[in-house]
Amino acid sequence: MVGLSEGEKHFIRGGIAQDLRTDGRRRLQFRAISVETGVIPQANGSARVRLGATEVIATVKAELGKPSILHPDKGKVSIFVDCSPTAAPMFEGRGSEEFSAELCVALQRCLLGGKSGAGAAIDLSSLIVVDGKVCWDLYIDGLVVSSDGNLLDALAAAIKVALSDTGIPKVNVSLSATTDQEPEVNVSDEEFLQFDTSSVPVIVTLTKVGKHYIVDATSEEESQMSSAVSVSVNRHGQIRGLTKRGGAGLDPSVIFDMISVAKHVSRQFISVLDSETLAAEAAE
Amino acid sequence: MPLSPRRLTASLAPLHSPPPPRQPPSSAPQKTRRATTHELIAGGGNPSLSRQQRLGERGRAPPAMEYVNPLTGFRVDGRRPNEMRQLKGEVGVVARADGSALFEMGNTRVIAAVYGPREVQNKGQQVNSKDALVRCEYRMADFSTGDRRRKPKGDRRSTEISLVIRQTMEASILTHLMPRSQIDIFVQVLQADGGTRAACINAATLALADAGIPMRDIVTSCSADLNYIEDSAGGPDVTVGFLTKMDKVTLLQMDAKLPMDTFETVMDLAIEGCKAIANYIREVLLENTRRLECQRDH
Repeated sequence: MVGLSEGEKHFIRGGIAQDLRTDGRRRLQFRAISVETGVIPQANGSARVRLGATEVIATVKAELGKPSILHPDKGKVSIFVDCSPTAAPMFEGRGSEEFSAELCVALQRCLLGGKSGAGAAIDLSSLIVVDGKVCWDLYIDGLVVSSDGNLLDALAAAIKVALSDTGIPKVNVSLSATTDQEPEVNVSDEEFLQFDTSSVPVIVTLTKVGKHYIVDATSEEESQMSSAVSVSVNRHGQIRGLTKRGGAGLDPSVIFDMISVAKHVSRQFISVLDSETLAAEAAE
Repeated sequence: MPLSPRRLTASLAPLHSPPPPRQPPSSAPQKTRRATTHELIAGGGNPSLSRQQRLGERGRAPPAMEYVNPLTGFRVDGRRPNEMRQLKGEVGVVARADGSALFEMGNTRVIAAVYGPREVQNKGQQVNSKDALVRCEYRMADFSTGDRRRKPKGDRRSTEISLVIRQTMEASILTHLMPRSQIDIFVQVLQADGGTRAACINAATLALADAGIPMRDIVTSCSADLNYIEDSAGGPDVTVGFLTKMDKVTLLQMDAKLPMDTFETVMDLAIEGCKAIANYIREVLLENTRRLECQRDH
Protein backbone atom coordinates (compact mmCIF):
# COMPACT_ATOMS: atom_id res chain seq x y z
CA MET A 1 0.00 0.00 0.00
CA VAL A 2 2.47 2.60 1.14
CA GLY A 3 5.99 2.12 -0.07
CA LEU A 4 8.39 3.34 2.59
CA SER A 5 12.12 2.91 2.92
CA GLU A 6 13.77 1.77 6.15
CA GLY A 7 14.95 5.33 6.79
CA GLU A 8 11.46 6.75 6.39
CA LYS A 9 9.99 4.12 8.69
CA HIS A 10 12.62 4.92 11.30
CA PHE A 11 11.91 8.65 10.92
CA ILE A 12 8.16 8.18 11.43
CA ARG A 13 8.61 5.94 14.48
CA GLY A 14 11.28 8.20 15.96
CA GLY A 15 9.10 11.27 15.47
CA ILE A 16 6.18 9.64 17.24
CA ALA A 17 8.40 8.61 20.13
CA GLN A 18 9.52 12.24 20.50
CA ASP A 19 6.00 13.68 20.21
CA LEU A 20 6.73 15.45 16.94
CA ARG A 21 5.24 13.76 13.90
CA THR A 22 6.36 14.12 10.29
CA ASP A 23 3.76 16.80 9.56
CA GLY A 24 4.63 18.75 12.70
CA ARG A 25 1.69 17.56 14.78
CA ARG A 26 1.85 16.24 18.31
CA ARG A 27 0.69 12.73 19.13
CA LEU A 28 -2.82 13.68 20.20
CA GLN A 29 -3.46 16.38 17.63
CA PHE A 30 -5.93 16.09 14.75
CA ARG A 31 -5.30 17.45 11.29
CA ALA A 32 -7.29 20.46 10.18
CA ILE A 33 -10.89 19.46 9.60
CA SER A 34 -13.21 21.08 7.10
CA VAL A 35 -16.92 20.43 6.80
CA GLU A 36 -19.48 21.12 4.08
CA THR A 37 -23.17 20.31 4.37
CA GLY A 38 -25.84 19.75 1.74
CA VAL A 39 -23.35 18.55 -0.88
CA ILE A 40 -25.75 15.97 -2.39
CA PRO A 41 -29.10 17.70 -2.97
CA GLN A 42 -30.83 14.43 -3.84
CA ALA A 43 -30.35 13.12 -0.31
CA ASN A 44 -32.27 14.17 2.79
CA GLY A 45 -29.02 15.12 4.41
CA SER A 46 -25.40 15.04 3.35
CA ALA A 47 -21.98 16.19 4.41
CA ARG A 48 -18.43 16.21 3.16
CA VAL A 49 -15.64 16.02 5.70
CA ARG A 50 -11.98 16.59 4.96
CA LEU A 51 -9.30 15.60 7.43
CA GLY A 52 -6.04 16.63 5.82
CA ALA A 53 -5.94 14.71 2.52
CA THR A 54 -8.68 12.30 3.60
CA GLU A 55 -12.04 13.17 2.13
CA VAL A 56 -15.34 11.38 2.74
CA ILE A 57 -18.95 12.07 1.84
CA ALA A 58 -21.87 10.81 3.90
CA THR A 59 -25.49 10.93 2.84
CA VAL A 60 -28.71 10.10 4.61
CA LYS A 61 -31.74 9.03 2.62
CA ALA A 62 -35.10 8.35 4.19
CA GLU A 63 -37.63 6.03 2.61
CA LEU A 64 -41.01 4.95 3.90
CA GLY A 65 -41.06 1.27 4.76
CA LYS A 66 -42.56 -1.28 7.07
CA PRO A 67 -41.18 -1.87 10.56
CA SER A 68 -39.96 -5.37 11.31
CA ILE A 69 -42.34 -7.73 13.08
CA LEU A 70 -40.00 -8.07 16.04
CA HIS A 71 -39.86 -4.32 16.67
CA PRO A 72 -43.13 -2.80 15.47
CA ASP A 73 -42.42 0.43 17.34
CA LYS A 74 -39.05 1.17 15.76
CA GLY A 75 -37.77 2.43 12.44
CA LYS A 76 -34.77 0.97 10.66
CA VAL A 77 -31.32 2.38 10.02
CA SER A 78 -28.69 0.82 7.82
CA ILE A 79 -25.17 1.93 7.12
CA PHE A 80 -23.17 1.20 3.99
CA VAL A 81 -19.66 2.24 3.11
CA ASP A 82 -17.99 2.27 -0.28
CA CYS A 83 -14.38 3.10 -1.03
CA SER A 84 -14.10 4.75 -4.40
CA PRO A 85 -11.17 3.71 -6.59
CA THR A 86 -10.40 7.42 -6.94
CA ALA A 87 -9.05 7.20 -3.38
CA ALA A 88 -6.52 4.48 -4.18
CA PRO A 89 -6.00 2.14 -7.12
CA MET A 90 -6.20 -0.81 -4.72
CA PHE A 91 -9.94 -0.14 -4.34
CA GLU A 92 -10.48 -0.95 -8.00
CA GLY A 93 -13.04 -3.62 -8.87
CA ARG A 94 -13.80 -5.81 -5.91
CA GLY A 95 -10.64 -4.69 -4.15
CA SER A 96 -12.49 -2.38 -1.81
CA GLU A 97 -15.07 -4.89 -0.63
CA GLU A 98 -13.23 -6.31 2.33
CA PHE A 99 -12.02 -2.95 3.57
CA SER A 100 -15.44 -1.34 3.05
CA ALA A 101 -17.08 -4.14 4.99
CA GLU A 102 -14.63 -3.66 7.85
CA LEU A 103 -15.40 0.05 8.05
CA CYS A 104 -19.10 -0.62 7.70
CA VAL A 105 -19.20 -3.12 10.58
CA ALA A 106 -17.17 -0.80 12.80
CA LEU A 107 -19.58 2.07 12.11
CA GLN A 108 -22.62 -0.11 12.70
CA ARG A 109 -21.17 -1.24 16.00
CA CYS A 110 -20.56 2.32 17.09
CA LEU A 111 -23.76 3.92 15.84
CA LEU A 112 -26.52 1.33 15.74
CA GLY A 113 -26.21 -0.41 19.08
CA GLY A 114 -27.30 -3.99 19.69
CA LYS A 115 -29.58 -6.24 17.66
CA SER A 116 -32.65 -5.05 19.54
CA GLY A 117 -31.80 -1.50 18.60
CA ALA A 118 -31.10 -0.67 22.22
CA GLY A 119 -28.29 1.77 22.68
CA ALA A 120 -28.51 3.12 19.16
CA ALA A 121 -27.19 6.62 18.67
CA ILE A 122 -30.26 7.48 16.65
CA ASP A 123 -33.55 7.23 18.50
CA LEU A 124 -35.24 4.53 16.42
CA SER A 125 -38.66 5.10 17.92
CA SER A 126 -38.60 8.64 16.51
CA LEU A 127 -38.61 7.08 13.03
CA ILE A 128 -41.96 5.40 13.48
CA VAL A 129 -44.91 6.86 11.59
CA VAL A 130 -47.70 4.36 12.33
CA ASP A 131 -47.01 1.63 14.88
CA GLY A 132 -46.41 -1.68 13.14
CA LYS A 133 -47.39 -0.28 9.73
CA VAL A 134 -45.25 2.56 8.46
CA CYS A 135 -41.84 3.75 9.50
CA TRP A 136 -38.90 5.57 8.04
CA ASP A 137 -35.99 3.52 6.77
CA LEU A 138 -32.81 5.53 7.02
CA TYR A 139 -30.05 4.63 4.61
CA ILE A 140 -26.71 6.07 5.58
CA ASP A 141 -24.11 5.86 2.84
CA GLY A 142 -20.48 6.68 3.29
CA LEU A 143 -18.21 7.20 0.31
CA VAL A 144 -14.45 7.51 0.60
CA VAL A 145 -13.30 9.87 -2.13
CA SER A 146 -9.71 10.43 -1.07
CA SER A 147 -7.84 8.38 1.45
CA ASP A 148 -4.96 9.41 3.66
CA GLY A 149 -5.57 7.42 6.79
CA ASN A 150 -8.07 7.61 9.63
CA LEU A 151 -11.06 6.83 7.43
CA LEU A 152 -13.18 5.56 10.30
CA ASP A 153 -13.03 8.78 12.29
CA ALA A 154 -13.69 10.84 9.18
CA LEU A 155 -16.67 8.68 8.19
CA ALA A 156 -18.19 8.84 11.67
CA ALA A 157 -17.75 12.61 11.74
CA ALA A 158 -19.32 12.93 8.28
CA ILE A 159 -22.28 10.78 9.33
CA LYS A 160 -22.77 12.88 12.44
CA VAL A 161 -22.80 16.08 10.40
CA ALA A 162 -25.03 14.54 7.70
CA LEU A 163 -27.55 13.47 10.34
CA SER A 164 -27.68 16.96 11.77
CA ASP A 165 -28.21 18.23 8.21
CA THR A 166 -31.02 15.73 7.64
CA GLY A 167 -34.62 16.81 7.44
CA ILE A 168 -37.23 14.08 7.54
CA PRO A 169 -40.42 15.18 5.76
CA LYS A 170 -43.41 15.56 8.00
CA VAL A 171 -45.97 12.81 7.37
CA ASN A 172 -49.69 13.25 7.76
CA VAL A 173 -51.51 10.00 8.30
CA SER A 174 -55.20 9.69 7.67
CA LEU A 175 -56.33 6.66 9.62
CA SER A 176 -59.06 4.68 7.98
CA ALA A 177 -61.93 3.26 9.98
CA THR A 178 -60.87 -0.35 9.70
CA THR A 179 -57.60 -0.98 11.45
CA ASP A 180 -56.27 -3.67 9.15
CA GLN A 181 -56.33 -1.42 6.11
CA GLU A 182 -53.14 0.22 4.96
CA PRO A 183 -53.04 3.74 6.35
CA GLU A 184 -52.99 6.54 3.86
CA VAL A 185 -49.80 8.50 4.07
CA ASN A 186 -49.29 12.01 2.88
CA VAL A 187 -45.67 13.14 2.74
CA SER A 188 -45.24 16.86 3.12
CA ASP A 189 -42.63 18.47 0.92
CA GLU A 190 -42.49 21.68 2.86
CA GLU A 191 -42.30 20.72 6.50
CA PHE A 192 -39.29 18.86 7.78
CA LEU A 193 -38.38 17.47 11.13
CA GLN A 194 -34.83 17.71 12.35
CA PHE A 195 -33.05 14.98 14.20
CA ASP A 196 -31.78 15.13 17.68
CA THR A 197 -28.14 14.38 16.97
CA SER A 198 -26.77 15.37 20.36
CA SER A 199 -26.23 11.74 21.31
CA VAL A 200 -24.60 10.71 18.02
CA PRO A 201 -21.02 9.84 18.91
CA VAL A 202 -17.76 10.60 17.18
CA ILE A 203 -15.11 7.95 16.76
CA VAL A 204 -11.58 8.54 17.95
CA THR A 205 -9.04 6.01 16.74
CA LEU A 206 -5.86 5.64 18.69
CA THR A 207 -3.18 4.03 16.59
CA LYS A 208 -0.34 2.37 18.43
CA VAL A 209 3.05 2.85 16.84
CA GLY A 210 5.94 1.53 18.92
CA LYS A 211 5.29 2.27 22.57
CA HIS A 212 3.09 5.28 21.95
CA TYR A 213 -0.29 5.91 20.43
CA ILE A 214 -1.42 8.70 18.16
CA VAL A 215 -4.73 10.09 16.92
CA ASP A 216 -5.65 10.81 13.30
CA ALA A 217 -2.87 8.77 11.72
CA THR A 218 -1.97 9.36 8.07
CA SER A 219 -1.66 6.34 5.82
CA GLU A 220 2.15 6.39 6.23
CA GLU A 221 1.73 6.28 9.97
CA GLU A 222 -0.96 3.62 9.71
CA SER A 223 1.44 1.41 7.81
CA GLN A 224 3.66 1.39 10.92
CA MET A 225 0.93 0.58 13.42
CA SER A 226 0.87 -2.52 15.57
CA SER A 227 -2.76 -2.18 16.57
CA ALA A 228 -5.47 0.45 16.71
CA VAL A 229 -8.37 0.98 19.07
CA SER A 230 -11.42 2.93 17.87
CA VAL A 231 -13.56 4.33 20.62
CA SER A 232 -16.85 6.02 19.92
CA VAL A 233 -17.71 8.63 22.49
CA ASN A 234 -20.72 10.88 22.65
CA ARG A 235 -21.03 14.42 23.90
CA HIS A 236 -21.56 13.29 27.49
CA GLY A 237 -18.35 11.32 27.52
CA GLN A 238 -20.14 7.97 27.34
CA ILE A 239 -18.56 5.15 25.37
CA ARG A 240 -20.88 3.86 22.64
CA GLY A 241 -18.70 1.27 21.01
CA LEU A 242 -15.22 -0.09 20.79
CA THR A 243 -13.27 -1.79 18.03
CA LYS A 244 -9.74 -3.06 18.04
CA ARG A 245 -7.91 -3.66 14.80
CA GLY A 246 -4.47 -4.92 14.01
CA GLY A 247 -2.72 -8.13 14.93
CA ALA A 248 -0.66 -7.18 17.95
CA GLY A 249 -2.01 -7.86 21.40
CA LEU A 250 -2.58 -5.09 23.91
CA ASP A 251 -2.18 -5.15 27.64
CA PRO A 252 -5.62 -4.61 29.26
CA SER A 253 -4.27 -1.70 31.29
CA VAL A 254 -3.13 -0.02 28.07
CA ILE A 255 -6.66 -0.36 26.69
CA PHE A 256 -8.14 1.39 29.73
CA ASP A 257 -5.54 4.09 29.37
CA MET A 258 -6.40 4.48 25.67
CA ILE A 259 -10.12 4.76 26.44
CA SER A 260 -9.59 7.57 28.90
CA VAL A 261 -7.31 9.38 26.45
CA ALA A 262 -9.90 8.92 23.70
CA LYS A 263 -12.56 10.40 25.96
CA HIS A 264 -10.39 13.39 26.61
CA VAL A 265 -9.51 13.91 22.92
CA SER A 266 -13.10 13.42 21.79
CA ARG A 267 -14.23 16.43 23.81
CA GLN A 268 -12.01 18.75 21.76
CA PHE A 269 -12.86 16.95 18.55
CA ILE A 270 -16.61 17.31 19.11
CA SER A 271 -16.30 21.01 19.83
CA VAL A 272 -14.20 21.59 16.69
CA LEU A 273 -16.68 19.53 14.65
CA ASP A 274 -19.63 21.46 16.11
CA SER A 275 -18.17 24.84 15.27
CA GLU A 276 -17.25 23.67 11.75
CA THR A 277 -20.77 22.30 11.27
CA LEU A 278 -22.33 25.56 12.38
CA ALA A 279 -20.09 27.48 10.00
CA ALA A 280 -20.96 25.11 7.15
CA GLU A 281 -24.69 25.39 7.80
CA ALA A 282 -24.41 29.17 7.88
CA ALA A 283 -22.54 29.14 4.58
CA GLU A 284 -25.05 26.83 2.88
CA MET B 1 -48.86 22.77 -19.56
CA PRO B 2 -46.59 24.81 -17.30
CA LEU B 3 -44.53 22.47 -15.21
CA SER B 4 -42.36 23.33 -12.28
CA PRO B 5 -39.35 21.12 -11.66
CA ARG B 6 -40.86 20.09 -8.36
CA ARG B 7 -44.05 18.92 -9.99
CA LEU B 8 -42.08 16.96 -12.51
CA THR B 9 -40.18 15.24 -9.75
CA ALA B 10 -43.34 14.47 -7.90
CA SER B 11 -45.05 12.97 -10.88
CA LEU B 12 -42.06 10.89 -11.91
CA ALA B 13 -41.32 9.52 -8.48
CA PRO B 14 -42.25 5.90 -7.98
CA LEU B 15 -44.57 5.01 -5.13
CA HIS B 16 -42.14 4.18 -2.40
CA SER B 17 -39.37 6.43 -3.52
CA PRO B 18 -37.53 8.78 -1.20
CA PRO B 19 -39.15 12.13 -0.81
CA PRO B 20 -37.90 14.97 -2.96
CA PRO B 21 -34.77 16.49 -1.55
CA ARG B 22 -35.21 18.97 1.20
CA GLN B 23 -34.85 22.37 -0.22
CA PRO B 24 -35.52 25.65 1.41
CA PRO B 25 -38.28 27.27 -0.64
CA SER B 26 -36.04 30.22 -1.46
CA SER B 27 -33.42 28.09 -3.20
CA ALA B 28 -35.61 26.93 -6.07
CA PRO B 29 -35.98 30.23 -7.94
CA GLN B 30 -32.33 30.96 -7.37
CA LYS B 31 -31.34 27.73 -9.04
CA THR B 32 -33.47 28.47 -12.09
CA ARG B 33 -32.03 31.92 -12.37
CA ARG B 34 -28.51 30.57 -12.23
CA ALA B 35 -29.25 28.18 -15.03
CA THR B 36 -30.77 30.77 -17.31
CA THR B 37 -28.25 33.51 -16.72
CA HIS B 38 -25.42 31.21 -17.49
CA GLU B 39 -24.52 32.62 -20.86
CA LEU B 40 -21.29 30.76 -21.36
CA ILE B 41 -22.60 28.74 -24.21
CA ALA B 42 -25.84 30.48 -24.96
CA GLY B 43 -26.68 30.25 -28.60
CA GLY B 44 -24.26 27.51 -29.45
CA GLY B 45 -25.42 25.16 -26.79
CA ASN B 46 -26.98 21.86 -26.56
CA PRO B 47 -30.65 21.10 -26.61
CA SER B 48 -31.32 19.01 -23.59
CA LEU B 49 -28.85 17.68 -21.14
CA SER B 50 -31.21 17.12 -18.29
CA ARG B 51 -34.11 15.55 -20.04
CA GLN B 52 -33.90 12.78 -17.53
CA GLN B 53 -34.19 15.08 -14.56
CA ARG B 54 -34.22 12.92 -11.45
CA LEU B 55 -34.27 9.82 -13.60
CA GLY B 56 -30.54 9.54 -13.83
CA GLU B 57 -29.66 7.45 -16.81
CA ARG B 58 -31.65 4.49 -15.77
CA GLY B 59 -33.00 3.79 -19.18
CA ARG B 60 -36.51 3.78 -17.84
CA ALA B 61 -38.96 4.94 -20.50
CA PRO B 62 -39.75 8.53 -19.68
CA PRO B 63 -43.43 9.27 -19.41
CA ALA B 64 -45.09 11.15 -22.19
CA MET B 65 -44.38 14.71 -21.23
CA GLU B 66 -43.25 17.80 -23.00
CA TYR B 67 -39.85 19.01 -21.96
CA VAL B 68 -40.20 22.36 -23.61
CA ASN B 69 -43.11 24.41 -22.50
CA PRO B 70 -44.96 25.38 -25.70
CA LEU B 71 -46.12 28.67 -24.17
CA THR B 72 -42.88 30.08 -22.85
CA GLY B 73 -40.39 28.05 -24.86
CA PHE B 74 -38.47 27.20 -21.71
CA ARG B 75 -37.56 23.76 -20.49
CA VAL B 76 -38.66 22.28 -17.21
CA ASP B 77 -35.61 23.58 -15.42
CA GLY B 78 -35.93 27.05 -16.91
CA ARG B 79 -33.38 26.73 -19.69
CA ARG B 80 -33.87 27.67 -23.29
CA PRO B 81 -34.02 24.68 -25.66
CA ASN B 82 -30.43 24.94 -26.84
CA GLU B 83 -28.90 26.20 -23.66
CA MET B 84 -26.39 24.11 -21.83
CA ARG B 85 -26.49 23.44 -18.14
CA GLN B 86 -24.08 25.25 -15.89
CA LEU B 87 -20.59 23.82 -16.10
CA LYS B 88 -18.11 23.66 -13.30
CA GLY B 89 -14.64 22.20 -13.43
CA GLU B 90 -12.12 21.97 -10.65
CA VAL B 91 -8.68 20.44 -10.80
CA GLY B 92 -6.79 18.66 -8.03
CA VAL B 93 -9.66 17.51 -5.83
CA VAL B 94 -8.11 14.20 -4.75
CA ALA B 95 -4.91 15.00 -2.91
CA ARG B 96 -3.11 11.69 -3.30
CA ALA B 97 -3.89 11.01 -6.96
CA ASP B 98 -1.45 11.99 -9.71
CA GLY B 99 -4.19 13.96 -11.38
CA SER B 100 -7.79 14.56 -10.44
CA ALA B 101 -10.76 16.69 -11.33
CA LEU B 102 -14.34 17.41 -10.45
CA PHE B 103 -16.74 18.13 -13.29
CA GLU B 104 -20.31 19.30 -12.98
CA MET B 105 -22.93 19.68 -15.67
CA GLY B 106 -25.97 21.02 -13.91
CA ASN B 107 -26.83 18.52 -11.22
CA THR B 108 -24.63 15.80 -12.65
CA ARG B 109 -21.43 15.70 -10.67
CA VAL B 110 -18.46 13.46 -11.34
CA ILE B 111 -14.99 13.02 -9.84
CA ALA B 112 -12.15 11.56 -11.90
CA ALA B 113 -8.76 10.50 -10.59
CA VAL B 114 -5.75 9.45 -12.63
CA TYR B 115 -2.95 7.26 -11.30
CA GLY B 116 0.06 6.89 -13.54
CA PRO B 117 1.94 6.56 -15.76
CA ARG B 118 3.37 3.86 -13.52
CA GLU B 119 4.72 0.37 -13.80
CA VAL B 120 2.27 -2.16 -15.22
CA GLN B 121 0.74 -3.86 -12.19
CA ASN B 122 -0.58 -6.96 -13.87
CA LYS B 123 1.77 -8.00 -16.65
CA GLY B 124 -0.89 -10.23 -18.17
CA GLN B 125 -2.94 -7.20 -19.14
CA GLN B 126 -0.16 -5.69 -21.17
CA VAL B 127 -0.97 -6.35 -24.79
CA ASN B 128 1.59 -4.20 -26.50
CA SER B 129 4.80 -3.24 -24.73
CA LYS B 130 5.36 -0.27 -27.04
CA ASP B 131 2.26 1.57 -25.85
CA ALA B 132 1.01 2.59 -22.46
CA LEU B 133 -1.80 0.52 -21.02
CA VAL B 134 -4.87 2.66 -20.32
CA ARG B 135 -7.41 1.34 -17.85
CA CYS B 136 -10.63 2.82 -16.65
CA GLU B 137 -13.20 2.09 -14.00
CA TYR B 138 -16.55 3.83 -13.72
CA ARG B 139 -18.49 3.65 -10.51
CA MET B 140 -21.74 5.18 -9.37
CA ALA B 141 -22.26 6.09 -5.75
CA ASP B 142 -25.24 4.40 -4.11
CA PHE B 143 -26.75 7.79 -3.44
CA SER B 144 -26.17 9.23 -6.91
CA THR B 145 -29.63 8.55 -8.30
CA GLY B 146 -32.98 9.74 -7.06
CA ASP B 147 -34.06 6.52 -5.42
CA ARG B 148 -31.43 4.70 -3.54
CA ARG B 149 -30.46 1.28 -4.79
CA ARG B 150 -27.62 -0.99 -4.00
CA LYS B 151 -26.15 -2.52 -7.09
CA PRO B 152 -23.46 -5.10 -7.43
CA LYS B 153 -20.19 -3.68 -8.68
CA GLY B 154 -19.28 -4.27 -12.24
CA ASP B 155 -22.78 -4.47 -13.65
CA ARG B 156 -23.17 -4.36 -17.40
CA ARG B 157 -23.90 -0.69 -17.66
CA SER B 158 -20.82 0.29 -15.64
CA THR B 159 -18.65 -2.08 -17.63
CA GLU B 160 -19.91 -0.61 -20.87
CA ILE B 161 -19.34 2.96 -19.76
CA SER B 162 -15.86 2.07 -18.44
CA LEU B 163 -15.06 0.69 -21.88
CA VAL B 164 -16.45 3.75 -23.67
CA ILE B 165 -14.44 6.12 -21.49
CA ARG B 166 -11.28 4.06 -21.89
CA GLN B 167 -11.55 3.95 -25.67
CA THR B 168 -12.32 7.65 -25.91
CA MET B 169 -9.41 8.64 -23.70
CA GLU B 170 -7.02 6.20 -25.35
CA ALA B 171 -7.69 7.96 -28.64
CA SER B 172 -6.32 11.22 -27.29
CA ILE B 173 -3.48 9.99 -25.05
CA LEU B 174 -0.09 9.71 -26.74
CA THR B 175 0.36 6.15 -25.54
CA HIS B 176 3.50 5.52 -27.63
CA LEU B 177 5.44 8.02 -25.49
CA MET B 178 4.98 5.89 -22.37
CA PRO B 179 5.89 2.31 -23.24
CA ARG B 180 5.64 -0.43 -20.62
CA SER B 181 3.58 1.75 -18.31
CA GLN B 182 0.03 1.90 -17.10
CA ILE B 183 -2.41 4.75 -16.67
CA ASP B 184 -5.47 4.23 -14.49
CA ILE B 185 -8.51 6.44 -14.81
CA PHE B 186 -11.12 6.12 -12.09
CA VAL B 187 -14.41 7.91 -12.44
CA GLN B 188 -16.85 8.21 -9.58
CA VAL B 189 -20.35 9.56 -10.14
CA LEU B 190 -21.57 11.51 -7.13
CA GLN B 191 -24.81 12.69 -8.68
CA ALA B 192 -26.46 11.37 -11.81
CA ASP B 193 -28.87 13.70 -13.53
CA GLY B 194 -28.52 12.82 -17.17
CA GLY B 195 -25.42 13.02 -19.33
CA THR B 196 -23.18 11.09 -16.92
CA ARG B 197 -21.29 9.56 -19.82
CA ALA B 198 -20.41 12.98 -21.19
CA ALA B 199 -19.56 14.38 -17.77
CA CYS B 200 -17.27 11.42 -17.07
CA ILE B 201 -15.30 11.97 -20.25
CA ASN B 202 -14.91 15.68 -19.53
CA ALA B 203 -13.80 14.94 -15.96
CA ALA B 204 -11.32 12.33 -17.22
CA THR B 205 -9.86 14.84 -19.69
CA LEU B 206 -9.33 17.40 -16.94
CA ALA B 207 -7.80 14.79 -14.63
CA LEU B 208 -5.43 13.53 -17.35
CA ALA B 209 -4.32 17.08 -18.05
CA ASP B 210 -3.81 17.62 -14.33
CA ALA B 211 -1.65 14.50 -14.19
CA GLY B 212 0.46 15.93 -17.01
CA ILE B 213 -0.17 13.05 -19.36
CA PRO B 214 0.65 13.95 -22.96
CA MET B 215 -2.46 14.15 -25.13
CA ARG B 216 -3.09 14.89 -28.79
CA ASP B 217 -5.96 17.19 -28.04
CA ILE B 218 -8.59 17.90 -25.46
CA VAL B 219 -11.38 15.41 -25.88
CA THR B 220 -14.74 16.62 -24.66
CA SER B 221 -18.16 15.10 -24.74
CA CYS B 222 -21.68 16.36 -24.80
CA SER B 223 -25.01 14.71 -25.25
CA ALA B 224 -27.96 16.09 -27.12
CA ASP B 225 -31.45 14.94 -27.65
CA LEU B 226 -34.24 15.95 -29.86
CA ASN B 227 -37.09 16.74 -27.65
CA TYR B 228 -37.32 20.34 -28.60
CA ILE B 229 -37.18 19.59 -32.30
CA GLU B 230 -39.47 16.64 -32.41
CA ASP B 231 -41.41 17.58 -29.37
CA SER B 232 -41.76 13.92 -28.58
CA ALA B 233 -40.94 12.70 -25.15
CA GLY B 234 -38.37 10.00 -24.69
CA GLY B 235 -36.62 11.10 -27.82
CA PRO B 236 -33.32 9.69 -28.92
CA ASP B 237 -30.22 10.63 -27.03
CA VAL B 238 -26.99 11.30 -28.90
CA THR B 239 -23.65 11.39 -27.10
CA VAL B 240 -20.66 12.70 -28.99
CA GLY B 241 -16.99 12.72 -28.03
CA PHE B 242 -14.98 15.25 -29.95
CA LEU B 243 -11.33 16.21 -30.43
CA THR B 244 -11.76 19.94 -30.77
CA LYS B 245 -8.58 21.11 -32.46
CA MET B 246 -8.29 18.13 -34.76
CA ASP B 247 -11.99 18.36 -35.55
CA LYS B 248 -12.55 14.64 -35.15
CA VAL B 249 -15.33 12.66 -33.59
CA THR B 250 -14.03 9.90 -31.33
CA LEU B 251 -17.26 8.74 -29.77
CA LEU B 252 -20.75 8.58 -31.14
CA GLN B 253 -23.62 6.86 -29.46
CA MET B 254 -27.31 7.06 -30.18
CA ASP B 255 -30.05 4.96 -28.70
CA ALA B 256 -33.07 5.29 -30.98
CA LYS B 257 -34.03 5.56 -34.60
CA LEU B 258 -33.89 8.92 -36.23
CA PRO B 259 -34.24 10.35 -39.74
CA MET B 260 -30.88 11.12 -41.32
CA ASP B 261 -31.41 14.86 -41.74
CA THR B 262 -32.56 15.33 -38.15
CA PHE B 263 -29.59 13.34 -37.00
CA GLU B 264 -27.24 15.79 -38.65
CA THR B 265 -28.85 18.71 -36.84
CA VAL B 266 -28.62 16.94 -33.52
CA MET B 267 -25.04 15.90 -34.05
CA ASP B 268 -24.09 19.44 -35.02
CA LEU B 269 -25.67 20.67 -31.82
CA ALA B 270 -23.75 18.10 -29.79
CA ILE B 271 -20.51 19.08 -31.51
CA GLU B 272 -21.20 22.73 -30.76
CA GLY B 273 -21.67 21.69 -27.17
CA CYS B 274 -18.36 19.82 -27.19
CA LYS B 275 -16.58 22.89 -28.53
CA ALA B 276 -18.08 25.08 -25.85
CA ILE B 277 -17.04 22.59 -23.17
CA ALA B 278 -13.53 22.43 -24.64
CA ASN B 279 -13.28 26.21 -24.32
CA TYR B 280 -14.41 25.97 -20.74
CA ILE B 281 -11.96 23.17 -19.92
CA ARG B 282 -9.15 25.17 -21.47
CA GLU B 283 -10.10 28.10 -19.26
CA VAL B 284 -10.05 25.91 -16.17
CA LEU B 285 -6.64 24.51 -17.07
CA LEU B 286 -5.21 27.95 -17.85
CA GLU B 287 -6.54 29.27 -14.58
CA ASN B 288 -4.92 26.34 -12.78
CA THR B 289 -1.61 26.96 -14.53
CA ARG B 290 -1.74 30.61 -13.56
CA ARG B 291 -2.38 29.66 -9.97
CA LEU B 292 0.56 27.24 -10.01
CA GLU B 293 2.77 29.94 -11.50
CA CYS B 294 1.80 32.36 -8.75
CA GLN B 295 2.63 29.73 -6.15
CA ARG B 296 6.01 29.14 -7.73
CA ASP B 297 6.85 32.84 -7.75
CA HIS B 298 6.13 33.27 -4.07
